[in-house]
Amino acid sequence: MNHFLLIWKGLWRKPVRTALTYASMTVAFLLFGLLNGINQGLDHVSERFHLDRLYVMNRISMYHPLILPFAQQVEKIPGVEDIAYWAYFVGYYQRPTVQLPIVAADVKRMFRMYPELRLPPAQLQTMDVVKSGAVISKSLARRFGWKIGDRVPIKSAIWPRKDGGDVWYFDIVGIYEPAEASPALNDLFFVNLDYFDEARAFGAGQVHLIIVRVKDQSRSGAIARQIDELAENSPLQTRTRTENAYAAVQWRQINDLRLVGNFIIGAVLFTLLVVSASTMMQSVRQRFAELAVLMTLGFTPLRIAGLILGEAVLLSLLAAATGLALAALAFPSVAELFGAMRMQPGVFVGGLGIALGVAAVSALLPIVRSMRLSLAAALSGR
Amino acid sequence: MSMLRLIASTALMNLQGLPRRRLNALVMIVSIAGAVAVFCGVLAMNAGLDGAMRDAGRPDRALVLRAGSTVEIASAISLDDLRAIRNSTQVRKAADGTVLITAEAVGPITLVENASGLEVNGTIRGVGPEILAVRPEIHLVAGRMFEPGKFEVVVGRQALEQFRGLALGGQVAAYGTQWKIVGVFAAKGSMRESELMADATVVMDVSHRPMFQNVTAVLPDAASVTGFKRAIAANPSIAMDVFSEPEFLQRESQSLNGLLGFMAYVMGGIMALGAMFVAINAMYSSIDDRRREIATLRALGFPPLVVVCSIVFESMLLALLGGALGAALAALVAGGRTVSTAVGADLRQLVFDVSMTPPVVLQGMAAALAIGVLGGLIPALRAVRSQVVDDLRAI
Repeated sequence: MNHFLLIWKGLWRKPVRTALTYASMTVAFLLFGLLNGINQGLDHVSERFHLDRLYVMNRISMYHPLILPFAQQVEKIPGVEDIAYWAYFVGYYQRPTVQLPIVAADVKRMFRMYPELRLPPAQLQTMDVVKSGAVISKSLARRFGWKIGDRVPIKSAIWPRKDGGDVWYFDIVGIYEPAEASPALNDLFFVNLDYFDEARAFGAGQVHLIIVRVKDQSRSGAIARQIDELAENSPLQTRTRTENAYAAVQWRQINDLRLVGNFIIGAVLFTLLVVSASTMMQSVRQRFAELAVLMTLGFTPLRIAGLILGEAVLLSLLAAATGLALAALAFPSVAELFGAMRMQPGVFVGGLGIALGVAAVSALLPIVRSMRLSLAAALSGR
Repeated sequence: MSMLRLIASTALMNLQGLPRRRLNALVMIVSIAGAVAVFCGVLAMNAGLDGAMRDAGRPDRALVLRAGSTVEIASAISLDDLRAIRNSTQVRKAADGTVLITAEAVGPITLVENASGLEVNGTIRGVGPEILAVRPEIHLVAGRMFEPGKFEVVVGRQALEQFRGLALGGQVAAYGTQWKIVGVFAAKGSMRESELMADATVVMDVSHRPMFQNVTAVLPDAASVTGFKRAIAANPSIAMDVFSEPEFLQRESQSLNGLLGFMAYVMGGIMALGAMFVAINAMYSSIDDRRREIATLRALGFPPLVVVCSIVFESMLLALLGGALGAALAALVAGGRTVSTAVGADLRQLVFDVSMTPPVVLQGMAAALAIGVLGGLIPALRAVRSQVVDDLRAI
């Protein structure tokens, strides 16, 4: 306890300097927390990819269609457990700039394929009854203030209705929430494919993406090849990807920006080290006389070293705790830019580890200097 | 006048003592350099993106897409629509009499990126013979133009470098046939350089979609775009959106601009805040080291303004040094790099160069200067408010 008091007093000997150093280190840990939070959040999502899921799309591009009979053929391939599919419905709400990520799907199959999307079973049942029903993500519901029972008019530039109109009305019957971020599924507006096929003026039976679950994950590569071979001699050739390959395409921008984020982390950590080390250096140099007094009183060099190290660790940990806490507070609003993700515990562990490392490195030089201290010179203030 | 001379001489005196306070100065320079490097680096990426997207657009060029099309590929314009569009506005004519309007058919294709081996969304753009007149920024740098009606393509300069299997004289497989690569074109670094171009009729033919995706027209001047918009909106037989080219391009790069803006201004801003604390700290402790010196000046009758100014001057100088170092670092690490990423709702691959433009450097230096002024001002004001007597007694 005595030692702690000494360390505490030493730390606040120059309150303004300590406070400013603390503030700048806190900012550094805040940045580290945010950027590393994004990094680890993305890693965490990629670790949880379901490698038993395959994504089949038209080889020409994701906007070219496949046909339902082909999906049925795929389902018959031995080793395929289940399939789901969707068609893009490009449309906007109120103004052309408010585009909605609407997909027409067999929703039963969809939610069976993605157990990580949570939807109350009763709401899924309602989709059967309400042909014009829609299941939307919680974040979409929040963004537009929609609730179950609302009727939403959507205008589509691509899909006119058989009756000649281009406005579609959908009734919201369910709101789902992703348990974890998943590629391109966080934020969707699902409508019934049956209803869409019956009502659209052309294109019935066309889908854009077929998702396949294989029984044995280790055979997914072989089955992917089998699917592409199946389509080889048909008019619509396919490209089948695993979930992580699919996500790599969807998250291209964000992944590219991670490189920038890593540069920033590097710059931040370097600056953090420089700031902390220089403060410790100055702080100890100005107290050589005091340290000499302690030594004369019988403090062993080891204890002196402990005091200096303790001071560095205390300052660094305080700053890390505050900075990481701030980062955790700010994270949800930052993470929204990158899709749903949570702050991983690894960020805190890493942050505290770095705090200890920075403290150790910045205490090193002052300790060496104080060990070489000439008592007589220091006491006489030279 | 004498005030200025006083400030100058005091500042000079401060600077002469700087070597003794080199550690503080160094820490301040390093932390400001870090913040400015991040800020400049990301802004330079954004400037490169703007160069490829926004700045490539001419305000007197208008693009027409079917109403509500988020992505070009979602648009569909028939020959009848094209006729109606052509009749809606006055279109400029080239010197040789070519009417400067063209319709394009966009064919998405899958390409493989050299660096990452990833499959990305590439584009074969079907264009008419008047394209070079409508878009004079496009010019061939090697080979020749494709011949109408043939499976021939010309490849953009960036596409040639970034995508696997593209070489002049070689072939590229798309839409079930082999296309001969007959030429390479440049387009002033714009997004078009990431694309392939072929004959519009051929592209519509192979994609089984007899529709154009956009109509581009050169209008007499930028102001006529508004009139064009009104004329199209008033025509009940067609439902089209008209954009001036800058508007259209900005729409495409919005999300990436947003992400880069977040990186530059939010992350860079937080970093600048941290650097400011460091600057205040450094100036505060260098003033602390000179308490007696400053108190002596004040006792001799130097006005507080002179003392404050000389301190702020030193702080500004150090900050600018840090800023210059940071900008140089950013130029070294990021400058001249090529970024290849996906833009737009259809995630089309765009390749652009990071460009350290003068405005980027200027913004970085301005940030450094702001940090320097604030960092110097706060401790300086504190220094001149303390009691001269106390300071003179200080060790």
